[in-house]
Order: sequence, then structure tokens, then C-alpha cells
Amino acid sequence: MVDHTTPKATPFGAMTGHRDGAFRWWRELCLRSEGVRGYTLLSPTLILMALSIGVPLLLLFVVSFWTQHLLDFTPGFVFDNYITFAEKQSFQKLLWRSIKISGFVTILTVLLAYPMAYFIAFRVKKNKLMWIILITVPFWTSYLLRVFAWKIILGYNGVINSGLSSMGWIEAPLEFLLYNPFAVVITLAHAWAAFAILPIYVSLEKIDRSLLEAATDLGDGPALRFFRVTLPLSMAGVVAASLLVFIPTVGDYVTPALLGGPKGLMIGNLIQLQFAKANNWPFGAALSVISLMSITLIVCAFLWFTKRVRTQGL
Amino acid sequence: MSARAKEVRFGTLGIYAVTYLAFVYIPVLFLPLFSFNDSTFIAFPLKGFTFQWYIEALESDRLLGSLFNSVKVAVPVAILSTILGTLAAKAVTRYRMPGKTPVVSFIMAPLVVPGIIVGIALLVIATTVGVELSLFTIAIAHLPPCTAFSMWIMISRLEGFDQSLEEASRDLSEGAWMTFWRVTFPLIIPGIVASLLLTFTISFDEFILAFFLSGSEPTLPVYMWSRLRFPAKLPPVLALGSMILISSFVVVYFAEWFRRRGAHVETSSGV
Amino acid sequence: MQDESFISIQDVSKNFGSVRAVDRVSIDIARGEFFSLLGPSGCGKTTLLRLLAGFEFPTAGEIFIDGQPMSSVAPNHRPVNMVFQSYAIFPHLNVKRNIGYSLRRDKLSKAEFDARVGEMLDLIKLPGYEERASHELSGGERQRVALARALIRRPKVLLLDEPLGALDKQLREQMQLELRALQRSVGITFVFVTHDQEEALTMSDRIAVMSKGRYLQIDSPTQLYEAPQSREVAAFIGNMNFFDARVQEVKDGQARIDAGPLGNLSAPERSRDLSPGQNLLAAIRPEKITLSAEKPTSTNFVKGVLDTAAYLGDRSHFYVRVDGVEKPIAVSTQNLNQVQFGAENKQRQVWLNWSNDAIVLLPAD
Repeated sequence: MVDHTTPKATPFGAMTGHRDGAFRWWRELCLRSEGVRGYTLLSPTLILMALSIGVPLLLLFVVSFWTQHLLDFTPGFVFDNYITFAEKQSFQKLLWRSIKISGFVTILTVLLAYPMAYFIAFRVKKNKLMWIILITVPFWTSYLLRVFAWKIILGYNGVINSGLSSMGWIEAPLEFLLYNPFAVVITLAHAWAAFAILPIYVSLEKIDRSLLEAATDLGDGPALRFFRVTLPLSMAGVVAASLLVFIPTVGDYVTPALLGGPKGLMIGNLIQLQFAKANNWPFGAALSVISLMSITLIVCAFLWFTKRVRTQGL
Repeated sequence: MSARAKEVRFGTLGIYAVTYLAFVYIPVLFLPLFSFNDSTFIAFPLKGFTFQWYIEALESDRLLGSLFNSVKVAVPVAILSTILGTLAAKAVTRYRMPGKTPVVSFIMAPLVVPGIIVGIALLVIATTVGVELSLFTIAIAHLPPCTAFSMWIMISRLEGFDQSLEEASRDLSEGAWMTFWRVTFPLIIPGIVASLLLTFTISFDEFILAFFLSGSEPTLPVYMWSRLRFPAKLPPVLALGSMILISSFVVVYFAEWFRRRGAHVETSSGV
Repeated sequence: MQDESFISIQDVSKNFGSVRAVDRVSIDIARGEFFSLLGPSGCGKTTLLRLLAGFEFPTAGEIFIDGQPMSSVAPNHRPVNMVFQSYAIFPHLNVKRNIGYSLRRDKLSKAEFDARVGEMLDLIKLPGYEERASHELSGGERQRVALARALIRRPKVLLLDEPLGALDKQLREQMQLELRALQRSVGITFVFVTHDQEEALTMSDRIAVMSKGRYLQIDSPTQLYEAPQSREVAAFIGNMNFFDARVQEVKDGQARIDAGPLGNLSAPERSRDLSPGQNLLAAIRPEKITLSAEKPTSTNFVKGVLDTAAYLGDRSHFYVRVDGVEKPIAVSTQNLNQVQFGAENKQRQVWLNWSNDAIVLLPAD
């Protein structure tokens, strides 16, 4: 029969000798199982994520049950902070307003972005790269400055007002432009434009053109074709874009702080306040948890709702 | 659809596209515009052309100091997050693993959790553990989103990569590590460069996390935020912002050029 | 004994999730053999090849190469090299560096390195190609470079995963002969995967016909063609006419079978241990049937009506309807002289006849 005991001295046989050594069992396990190999490679990243996102969020959750008086923290398990939120209508209104503003921003951004993405995907034949870069570049500049740019534009002495008045079109500066939710929505829609275009573009690019040809061949005009084939197939991109815009916007506080005015404040500002002047960290933590949960709820509802469109078309 | 009708279609959509581009660019272009304006007020009409704001910006120690701080944070973050992102991308694209989807979603999570929440969570931890806030804490905070982003880039790069090239190398003579160095790495360099450039940019521009986690040394965005309260000190900030705008443009263009160049190498080989 | 089971696959199975790609396969491959794995896509042949290469690990069973168990041996440490379906030529390296890729760990001097690569280039008949870039190569050239790269360290076994699939017909046939000649001159054991049965028949010493993770039959090409052991194998290799039949009697190695509308026929038993009354499947190759206009004088004949004729240049295919038989019988004739039965002969009455040992008996479905 076959001799297993004495390994032959072959050039390849000599190599297998070094298998004996440290972590031999680990190496063998890696050889057998792809899962082990994969997770080994993944472990540094996973550990980093767990420590820098998982643990902090968990701690935040825990802290939300504490109380703070001046500079003293009282660890414990009380619902005080959550009760405060539930009792004060103004807080709830703020959260609701934040969600509404974010919703508006999302809808506006995605609606404006879709035709642009469609244009690049379907109408541009050469140099799609150039268009994508053109769209992406402004996004890669400082967010602060972009927000500030809108402040310049919309301000009392800002571009629109001074321009219009120096041309004699208005007598007094328009005051409705700045320091309200309107300003916040415009600014954020502008800020997130590229972020929304890219996922939609990617999903439109992936659509097999012969599917559209087949639809035409079967009798659909351009409008029907769009609603029955293109839109459902690009829904994944639309969903991604919506999530990418909505979620960070809910927590944004820079834009509301710079140009929201008292009516344009969002929950992010209230949270930030707890860590600054109001000095109530546990309450800030509770607000964060409440915001996160609201976001998650809305996102799940959104995903469920769009699932129907994604799988069956309109 | 008739040829005439098609033209019209292009026309409408094309006009929209150009208008949209204008909407995206014009607000941003006001920054350089007013950075050359000879006036401390940011308003029309324009008063005259001057370089003084640029000079003032470049002479300001604090401004340059914060710029340097941002670089001190962004460079290590870019390198480390690209390494981690590439490792993760390789694991995800090459191996069958149970529970892959939830794990990947977990790693991508930093991209969608609002920055302010992450910022305060980290602040809470830092305070509880007793870690002093500094550039180091900012760097730690930047790693998750940058790593997630890097992984996203590298996944799309590696997915289009012919796996049999790596298998050929492993079949011929090399173990996993040398295969990576001799075959995979040379072919994904464009992706790695793109990842380095883009993660650098993300970290460099990042404000919220830096704001919550900076100690005595501010990064550039944090410094800018403090200046925004003083209208008279604004123009130098605009000057700096414009300089950043131009250099970001150059950096991103390079990143894309590199990335696309890599795709050319793969497809032209016909493998 | 060692030589006959140079590669020994012992009761190997491989599962991917709930899918069983390879199902308890045991195969012994001899040293220096040109062995083919043949079957339709999804039959498990590529998985088996990858198990040999070390890219997959068996769920059960063991693989031995030259007496060594391969269970803890990584692909780069096995005495096995592979030619990939896509050739996997490294796009960032030129031809010389591609071929010499695995020599790096031997730390040869530049002169030795160049000499070894030059030797391989001569072997694959592409002398002087050292500095060519990989994207400058044609399909056939890539295939040969992939071959040279895999052979340069003289592995004990060469695995080939459908390497000729991307080539056009003429080039493919030329490469088949070249590969065969190469294998004979170099003496390495080849394990060749293909779905093209003609290819397998041309090149192999033995073929394993695979289906759904198992092998149906392992035999030389001649045996597989002339003496298939099941309907599946018979149908997969070449064309076949099948009829249901029942054994009447067995005498002197010949069986008399009742083939219904075709009457009583005679067929060699070929140690099938047949008993009277047994149901089985009778099969006959189209080229073993002769078509004639007049009634033949031999014993095995049947009358029919010519239904369709197809002219293929060197051969003609005819389809003949016989009373009581559902499918038309396929007949293949070489066009030695002028074509006898053209289209104008449709509906003409013809006779089919064949020799006594032309019929193959197979187990009933």
C-alpha cells in the first residue's frame, strides 16, 4: 500500500518541514477554513471599530441613565433624563423639527440629484469621469466653508441682498433668507449634493442597457420605460443616497448654529449644549440615544416601504 | 423616438445638468471671489483687488499652526486607515465567512452614525477613562470613518480583480503574504493611492469630531470655526479656504486619475 | 503499486453549504498518465481539480500525491502546478518574469534564471519572447506562457482547467496534439478538465466521466466509446441510438434480444451476466449502421423510410423512421463516393443493417 510514514525527500517535501513550529494549529485551521482566514484578516479592523464605535456608543447608552449635578456625576440607573424629554414638549418638538428638516433636505437633495445622475449615466457618452469629478470636487472642500459660503450669500449684507440692492431691485435687505429653517434646508441640500449623486449614478450605470431596449421592443414609451424598468432598478442607489443624506443630517449642528437662527435649531444643537453651557452630560447622552432610536425607526420604515418599489416597480 | 425628440431630451436634461453644476459651484466660488476683495465686509459691490488677506493668512502663526496640526493628524490617519481598510476589503472579497453581512455593516456603521453622537460618545469615554484630549484623540476618532471609507474604495477595487491571478501565484510558489506583495499590491496601487488621498482629505476637513475631541491644539477646521465669530477676521479665513479649495481640487483629480489608471491596466491585459 | 496510484483520491467529498459538489469520489491516477475529467458544467470536475491543487479543502476523505497526504499542505507547497482557465498571466510582468515567477525562491543567478526561462520558451516554441508585455500576447501565446510557467519547476503533476476553451477550433486542435506530445516528452502526470468530449478522447490515456459530483465510468477513450456502461456515459460521448429490449436467450457470449419493432437482434454479452427475461437498453452508434437501397443479405436488418438527410461534407447524417419506433434512427455515413441519398430521396424506402457486435447493451433506465 501507500507508504505514509517516511516523507520523501523531494524539493517540495522539504518545504513542508517548516509547518512544525509556532501556531501550527492556527495555520492548519487557516488552511482548512476560509472563515478563519477571513476573520483573522478582518480582526484588526473589527477590533478598532468595536473599541472606537461600539464601546463608546454602549457607554453613551449607560451614561444616559446617570444624573449630573453641576460637576458631579451620579452613576445609577434612573430614567430621569428620558422623563425630562418626555415631559418637555419643546424638546419633542425640536426632535420632530429636526426630523422634518432632515426629511426635506433628503427629499430635495435626492430629487435634484437623480436627474443629474441620470444625465451622466445615460446622456454623457465620453468623459463621464470628468463630470463625476466636477460634481465631486466641491464636496471635498471644507464643510465649514461651504456652510459659510451660504451665509455669505443669504445674509443681511450678503451677496443676494447687496447685489439686488446695488442694482436697485430692492430697497431694504430681504430678511427671510437667513436664520430660519429655509436657510438650513438650502445649505444642506447643497452640501450633500455629491453624496447623493454618486450612489444613484452607480446604480444607474449598472443597469443593463439591453433591458431598456427590450422594454422598448415590447411597447413601452420613454416615460413608461423609466417608471417600470429604470427607476426600480436604480432604487438601491436611491435608498443608499437617501440614507447617506438623512442620517447625518438629523444630528447636524453646524449648519443650524451658523444660519438656523432660533427657529432653525435642531436636536444636534441641544445635544451640543449639554456638553457645553448646560453641562448635563447624561441628558445629552439620553438625547443622543433617543435621536439614534428615532433615526433607526424611520430608516427601517423607509427600507420596508421602498422594498416594495424595489422588487415590484411602481 | 425620433431623432429630433431625442435632441430635445438631451437639451432639457443637459440644461438641467449645467444649471445643477452652477448651483453646486457658485456658492463655493464666492469664497475665492471675496478673498481677493479689498474690504473686510463680505458684500457687494466689490471694492478692489488685493492679496493682503493671503499674506495675512500666511503670516498668522496660529492659523499655520492649526494647518500643521491638521496635517499631523491626517497623515497617520490616512496611512493607518488605508492599511486597515485594505486588509478588511481583502477579507471580505476573497473569503467565504459566516456572518459576513452583519460584520461588514458594522464596519460601515461609522459612515452613517451622526458625527455629533460619535463625538460626544468618545468624549464621554475619554473623560471617564481619564485620557487627555489632544491631536491623538482626534486621530483615534477619525480612524473609524476613514477606515470604513477606505474599505469601501478597496472593496470596489478588489471585486473587479481577477482572483485567478492570486491563485496562480499561490499555486506556483508563494504563500499568502508574498502573493499579496508580488501580485495583488502592484495591481491595486492606484486604489491604495486613491484611498490615501481621500482619507487624508476626509480627516483634514473633518470638523465635528475634531471640535469635541481637541485639546489645546486646534486643527484647521476648529480654528476656522473660532474665527467665524469675528467678521473682521474673516477674509484671511476665506483666503485660506480658497487655497484649500484649489489644492483639494488637485488632490481629488489625482486620486481619480490614479484610480482609473488602475482599471486600464486590468482591462487592457484581457485577463 | 506506488506508480499506479501516484495520485490517490480516497473517498473525497466537498460540500459548499448544502450543495455537494463532489460526492465520495475515489480515483487512482498513474504516474505519467494523461488523465481527463470530463463532464457537463456543474458535475464537480473543476472542484475536484481545485481540491488537488489545494484551493479547496475536502469536507471528507483524503488526497495523496506520491504517497504524501495533502491535508495540511498549502497550494504553494504541493508538488502540483495548475494552468488556469483564464491563464492568469500577471499583467504587470513581462513574459520572462511570468514564466520565471516561481524561480524567485530558488535564488538563481541572473544567467541561470535567463537560461531556465529560455529553455521553457524553446519548449513552448516561442523563442525570443522574453521581453514581450503580457497584453501583447495572443490567446494561443498566453496559453503557452501559462503552460511554461507551470512547468518550469518540473512539478510532479500538472492540472489543466479547460485551457483550450478560449481558442478557435483550428488552434484548439493543433494545441491538443501539441499538449499530448509535450506530455509524452516531459513525462509529467497531467490531470485535464474539459467539457468537450472530443478533446478528451483525443488526448487522454484515461477519462473519468463525471456527473453530479460522482464519476460514472473511468476508462480508456476506446473503451468508453465502444463499451459504455450506462446510458448517461453512452449518450454523453458521441451520439447513440437507444431502444428498449428484453433478453431472450444467452449463448456463447452472444445474447438474443427482443427489440420490439426492430425485431430480434443479436448483441455481444460482454460479461454482463444477463438472464433471459431481463429488461435492458440496447444502443448502437450511428456510424455502425449501414444504409442501403436494397435489402441486405446479412442477418441484422430493419426496413425504414428516409426522413431527413444532412450533408456535412465528409459525412452525411440520415434520420430514418422505422415502424413502431418513436424517434427516428440516426445513421452516419462517410461520403466516400458521391452522395447516395440526397434530399430528393426523401420518403424513400431504405434498409438499415449492422454487424453482430455493433450493439451495446446497457442497464435499463
